[in-house]
Amino acid sequence: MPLKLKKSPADEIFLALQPYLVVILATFGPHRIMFGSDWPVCTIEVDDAWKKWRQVVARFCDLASLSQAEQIMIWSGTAIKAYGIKELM
Amino acid sequence: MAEEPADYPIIDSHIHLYPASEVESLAWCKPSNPLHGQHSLEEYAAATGSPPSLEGFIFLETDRKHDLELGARDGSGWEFPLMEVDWLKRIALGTPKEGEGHTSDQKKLCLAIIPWAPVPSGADTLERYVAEVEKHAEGSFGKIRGFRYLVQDKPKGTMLQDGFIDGLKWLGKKGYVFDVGVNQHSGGKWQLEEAVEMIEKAHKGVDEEEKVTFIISEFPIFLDICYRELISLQTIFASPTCRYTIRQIQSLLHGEQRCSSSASAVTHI
Repeated sequence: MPLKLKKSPADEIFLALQPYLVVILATFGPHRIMFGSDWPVCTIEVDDAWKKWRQVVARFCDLASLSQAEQIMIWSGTAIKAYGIKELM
Repeated sequence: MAEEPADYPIIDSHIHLYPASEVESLAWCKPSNPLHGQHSLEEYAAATGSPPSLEGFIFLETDRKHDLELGARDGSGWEFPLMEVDWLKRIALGTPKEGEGHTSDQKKLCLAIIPWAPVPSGADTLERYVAEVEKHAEGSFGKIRGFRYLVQDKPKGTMLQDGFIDGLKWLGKKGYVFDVGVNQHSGGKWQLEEAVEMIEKAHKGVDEEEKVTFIISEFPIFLDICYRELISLQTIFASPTCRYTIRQIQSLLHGEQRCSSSASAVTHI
């Protein structure tokens, strides 16, 4: 990601990433996508990286018109299923 | 963006943690690295703002120094990855050493642990290694849901070797997932193509319930390919290699969906 984009607000990052997020959504679908920050790697040259990434993903879920069930999969459901997190099943 | 994100429960499915006292054991972290120094739950809480909806995180191994050959011979090459298992045990059981930046209360945030494993060494060695992991992890062993072996910095063909495939099949048999660490830093596209071939090999002839689940943990590879080559989305689809890879992934996923309800390849964003 270019430095200029790293320094941009979440809205601009979302716009720049949108085409690629669409490819990921079309390829995998919400039941095979999970939210993950890669912290602290995401913080390199980015201020408030974790909060921004959360906003980018939230914006994407919203604009892709994902249902409530699909959004739940991305935020936690896929991770629970894929990693078999027993206490949350 | 003015509005606050909707408050769905969140699992942060991919983070790294290390105490300042063990930074020297990381293979990549020189003093000049911006990520040098302690990155514990204290720092993580500051970064996230600890929103109430954040249920917890999944820890991913952080590339500690290791030696596959010495590990396979007498276990000595596994010292630092096993030290990381000890560190995560202290986090998951809430038994911190002084100055390591986490508290007993924060143990509930640790939902799963994905340590390093010598997958290329094959099933027998892997089994010996996981027995060592169990000794080190003690009461936190149940949180270990899978393993990662980074291939992003390894030569072409690494993930297709017999030992590697054998190791992956063993993981599947034992119910562990494998985190696929491919990314743009060392070539990009070929790694994703090779990963698709690896998934096919590791699943070939294996019963549905014993097929290893792959977590593609650096999928933003697409973004970096696009930025580096300055190509647009249309060109991704028009580029034969990329189009082929996307199709392969789709057919892998759809093929599995027909015969199984469980996810065998998933990605994180």
